[in-house]
Amino acid sequence: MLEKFPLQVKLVFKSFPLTKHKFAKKAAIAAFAARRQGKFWEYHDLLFENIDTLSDQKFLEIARELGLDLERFEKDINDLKIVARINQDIRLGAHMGVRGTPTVFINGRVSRARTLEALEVAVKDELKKPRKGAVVSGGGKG
Amino acid sequence: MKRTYKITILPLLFVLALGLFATNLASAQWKIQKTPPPVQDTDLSVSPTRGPIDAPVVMGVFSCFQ
Repeated sequence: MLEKFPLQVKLVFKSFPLTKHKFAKKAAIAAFAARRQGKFWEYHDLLFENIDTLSDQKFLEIARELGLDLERFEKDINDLKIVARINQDIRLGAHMGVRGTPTVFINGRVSRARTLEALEVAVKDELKKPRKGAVVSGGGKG
Repeated sequence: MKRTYKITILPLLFVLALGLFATNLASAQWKIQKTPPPVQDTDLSVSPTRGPIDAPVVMGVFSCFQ
C-alpha cells in the first residue's frame, strides 16, 4: 500500500501477538528492542522473512545482521517496559474487537478487505472522502 | 601639511573576527534549515509508523509475527 500510495497512506504498527504462536510475543519484544536502536522496521521485515524459523537464536542472528549493539539488545529484550508496551497494544486491540491478525483499521474503522486489491479499493474510497481536520485511527499514541 | 593616520591592529582584528563569526553563523543556520535531523524512531510511547506523517489515510494494522 505504501508503494502504491507513497504520499497518501501512513501505516501504524500495533502488536497483537497471538498466544497460539510460541514465538510471537518474543518476536514483538525483539522488534521493540530493535526500535530502541532505531531499527524497528528493518527488524520487522526480517522477522517476516524468517517467519518459519523463529527462535531465540534467530532473534539474536537478526540483531547481529542489522548491526545492533547486542549487549544492549539482550538487555532490552528483558525490559519489562517493552512487555508492558506490547500488552498495551493487545488491550487496545481487544477493546477494538480484534480477534485475529492482520486486522486493519482505515482511518479508525475496521476494514474487511483481505487482499491487496481490496485494500487498494478501500484506500481509494477513503481518499475520495472530504478530509477532516483530525484523523482518527487505530494507530497514533497508545 | 602632512597627515598621519594612526591605525591600531586590535579593532581590525575584532572586525575580522566578527565577520568570520557572522559568516559561520549564517552558514550553520542554512545547514539547519536545509538538513533536517535524522529521525530516530525510538519512542516507546508512540506506535511505529511508516509513510508521511500527515497522510490522509491512516492504516492501523494489528499484526502478529508468526
